[in-house]
Amino acid sequence: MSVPTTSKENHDVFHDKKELAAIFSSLEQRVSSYVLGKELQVKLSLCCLLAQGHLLIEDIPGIGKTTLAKVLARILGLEFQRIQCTNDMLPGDILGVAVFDPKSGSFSFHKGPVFTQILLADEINRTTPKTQSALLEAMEEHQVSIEGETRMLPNPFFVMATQNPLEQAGTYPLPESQLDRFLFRISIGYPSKEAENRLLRGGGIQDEVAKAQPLLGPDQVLNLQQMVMNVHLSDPLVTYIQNLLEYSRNSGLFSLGLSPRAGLSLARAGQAWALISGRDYVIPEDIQQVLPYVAIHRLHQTDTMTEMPFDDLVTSFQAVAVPT
Amino acid sequence: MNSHSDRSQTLPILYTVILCTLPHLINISVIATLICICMWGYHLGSLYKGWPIPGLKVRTVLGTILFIMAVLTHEGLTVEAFVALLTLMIALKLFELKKLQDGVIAVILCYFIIVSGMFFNDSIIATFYILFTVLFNTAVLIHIQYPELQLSPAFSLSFQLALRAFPFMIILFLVFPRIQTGFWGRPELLQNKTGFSDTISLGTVASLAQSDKVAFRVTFTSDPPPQDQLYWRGIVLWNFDGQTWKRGNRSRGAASQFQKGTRKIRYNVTLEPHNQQWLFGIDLPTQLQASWSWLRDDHSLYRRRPVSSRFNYTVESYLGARSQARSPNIDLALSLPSTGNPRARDLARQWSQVAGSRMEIVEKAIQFFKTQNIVYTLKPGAIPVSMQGDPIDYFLFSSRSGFCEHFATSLAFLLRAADVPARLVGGYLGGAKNPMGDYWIIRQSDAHAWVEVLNDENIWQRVDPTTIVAPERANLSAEQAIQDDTQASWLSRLGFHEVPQWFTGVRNMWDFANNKWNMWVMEYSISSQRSLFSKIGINISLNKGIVQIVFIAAVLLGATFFLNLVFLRPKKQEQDKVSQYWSTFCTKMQRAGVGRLPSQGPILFLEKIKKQRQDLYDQAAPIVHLYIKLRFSGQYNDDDLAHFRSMTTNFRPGTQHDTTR
Repeated sequence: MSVPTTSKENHDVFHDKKELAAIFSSLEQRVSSYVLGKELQVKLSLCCLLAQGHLLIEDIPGIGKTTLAKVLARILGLEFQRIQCTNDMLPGDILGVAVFDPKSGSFSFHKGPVFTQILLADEINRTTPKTQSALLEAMEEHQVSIEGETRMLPNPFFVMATQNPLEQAGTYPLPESQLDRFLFRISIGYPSKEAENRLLRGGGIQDEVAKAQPLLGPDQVLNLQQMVMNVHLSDPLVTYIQNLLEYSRNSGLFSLGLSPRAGLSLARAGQAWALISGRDYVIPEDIQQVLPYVAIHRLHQTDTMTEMPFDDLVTSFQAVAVPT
Repeated sequence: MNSHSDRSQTLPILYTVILCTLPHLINISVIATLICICMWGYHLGSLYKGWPIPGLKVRTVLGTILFIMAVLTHEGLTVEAFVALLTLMIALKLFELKKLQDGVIAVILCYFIIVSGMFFNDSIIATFYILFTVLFNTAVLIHIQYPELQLSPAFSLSFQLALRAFPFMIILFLVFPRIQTGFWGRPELLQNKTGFSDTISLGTVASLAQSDKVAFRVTFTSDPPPQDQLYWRGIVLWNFDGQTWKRGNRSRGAASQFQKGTRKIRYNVTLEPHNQQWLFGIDLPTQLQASWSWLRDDHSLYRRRPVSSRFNYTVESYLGARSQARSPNIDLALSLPSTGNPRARDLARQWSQVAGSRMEIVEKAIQFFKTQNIVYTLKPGAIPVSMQGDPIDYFLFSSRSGFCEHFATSLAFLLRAADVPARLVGGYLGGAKNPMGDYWIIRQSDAHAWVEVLNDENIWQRVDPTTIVAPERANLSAEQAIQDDTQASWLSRLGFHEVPQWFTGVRNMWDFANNKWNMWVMEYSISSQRSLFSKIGINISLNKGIVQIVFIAAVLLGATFFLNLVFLRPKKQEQDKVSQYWSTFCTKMQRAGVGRLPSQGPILFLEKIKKQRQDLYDQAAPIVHLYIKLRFSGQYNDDDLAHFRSMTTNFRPGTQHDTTR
């Protein structure tokens, strides 16, 4: 067992654990004061961002997905762009195009909306596979190649994509290989009665969001992402993750088990969750907490070839014992 | 606790209560059944629709009312009343599932309900159902104490537990001292009152004959008699009050002398419980081997206590033997009420004036039955009110249709009116041989009644008027002997005019299996125990034998326990020190009532401890946190390990159980 290599000089913004915990709690508080009654979803989004993953939100319109993305961007002090995906959209509409400039007599590149730090891609399954794959490639590589020229995307880069679970007409469902690129899939769900009450009394919060003061900046976010990678993952937990992967592959419940990438994501997400919870080491509960969100869109049931209901998924993985 | 998790906890309890109570619904009164179903329904309503849960006052009043109701609708403090009470109280208990303890009590009460099912039905199917409910109930018990464990893994755990307990069950079944039935015996049940009561009036046998229940089973140790000689004598009735025949009180002495018959037969009878005191034997029983039972003066077989559980006895009968009369009984065999049935009396008086001897009168009576075209039927119809006082006149001269008891009672009446001593005998005629097991089954549908007449030599002689009118009755059961459309069985209504061969085969096989089950399992008594152990040379009627058997049982149980421990325990993995101490802690916590599931991490386990044993939380929390530090943080020193060790070994959770959740 090794002592974590988290060295403080790399992250001079955070001096000790207490300060870290205070920052996370105020972050969550601030975001949750705009996205009412959705503390878990806020925490999961933050976790996803810090684990350098991307987030897929499956829910109906009007539930607060955009607000969540905007607020996250504001509070974290990151740039924000939103694209509404349609079926006539071309890769260029997202990535950007080279335009001929008659004055200089040369092509100049006009950046598309993808050149931002937080990107909300609404109804990603409405656009064509070609456009989808362009976006997903950008997500994976953190860069885009246009006209033979490779351009780096800003850092940090976090994509929140949404899809509507009900309307399937005229959509292009994301293939499994693409889904694998999203770290988490979550749904937001209706607000609780009290939250909705406050929401209705408040009369919308769009103006307030715009006024929200940032708590961090891009550098601090990058530092946090770095810290996540240094959160200690003990050997028994590596074995635990392996057992979970093996269970998904061999239990017979699922047609296809979790990929090694999913395993990596799971470990990273567990680390991020541990950091958010104020620890510099992972415990089994961290893994268990994020596992269903990592697994839900990656696993199909053997008999019906449909996704397993969330609660069943949680239950089925209880067959794997935690390390002692 | 929110309503969803609340429901996932209480629904399984409701399920197990329903499953365990289900077989009892036919045993308790209709009112109790309806109330029970209503309470379950209301409970569901309160779970899903949020109906208000009755408060303490309502429950107290309801409980008192239900208690009184249970006693009133089950003829006093009978077994049925107690079962109904238990059922109703468990259903009521469902409304106070506030704490874990309440749920545990409700589920444990269900075990009592399950076991009481054995009083009513111990057939193979019932036993397997009972085993299933035991498994399910245990699963629910596991589930409510380990809410994280869903019902189906809990069920498989319960099955594993049962499997491990199985050898213990077998050993204990064989060696545990049997409580001898007979003195206290099994409680009497209301439902066992099918079979003969101690009176016969018009209609009682006919209603009995429509039941298909087994009355008793017989194994012959000598050659069985011919079918038409299978007169199973039961109760002998002397007193007639104009409506019903009763046993009278004059047949107390020992069995009277008898004229030897043609052939002796020996057989063994297994009588189903009928809550009456007499046993059945082929005409004429001369010797009886059974506990607390003897032959009475009129050669009826009599037991001191009612037969409330299956009863086994051996009889020796003399085919064709006839018993001699004792003088005081002759008057009794002639007594009639002073009024009623004037036409029958007139007819009898005519015969006695003409005839010279008793047997001549009997002959005239038989001729009368032969010539009157009386119909043999199971459903003779009700006697009109105007004729209620003269039922025999109505049968002989108006309706002319009746069942064996009509024939027998009216013949006995006619003979007594003509000064011929006569008595009525109730029992069974015939029976069917089961080729599977070489034994005979006598069903309630074989119920029969006939007459015994004192002939001119003062010897009782059997006269069966039914076989005069319907000779085929001697070889067939009553239902088969009667063939008209109005009385068709359900089989013939379905288009089977004769019972198909395979059906009889299946029925025989099933009865054979049940019979073996009864013989080997249900009837395993102290004598079977004695003979079993004598085979291995141990006499358990001696003190030495008891010591030997206790020793053998202890060794066997110990060995089973050891094998269980060695082979069925999950294999311990190579453990390092930390997980070794951790599992010590978990084991101690489990004994204190909070078990850790394999999938439970330390923090969730600590939360569970806080929920279930608040008192231990302060002690447990530092241990759990130190464990996390040692196991997962990657930063610890040897002091921490030593500290962890002393903490886990010194951890002493009390056994007092504070179940507030």
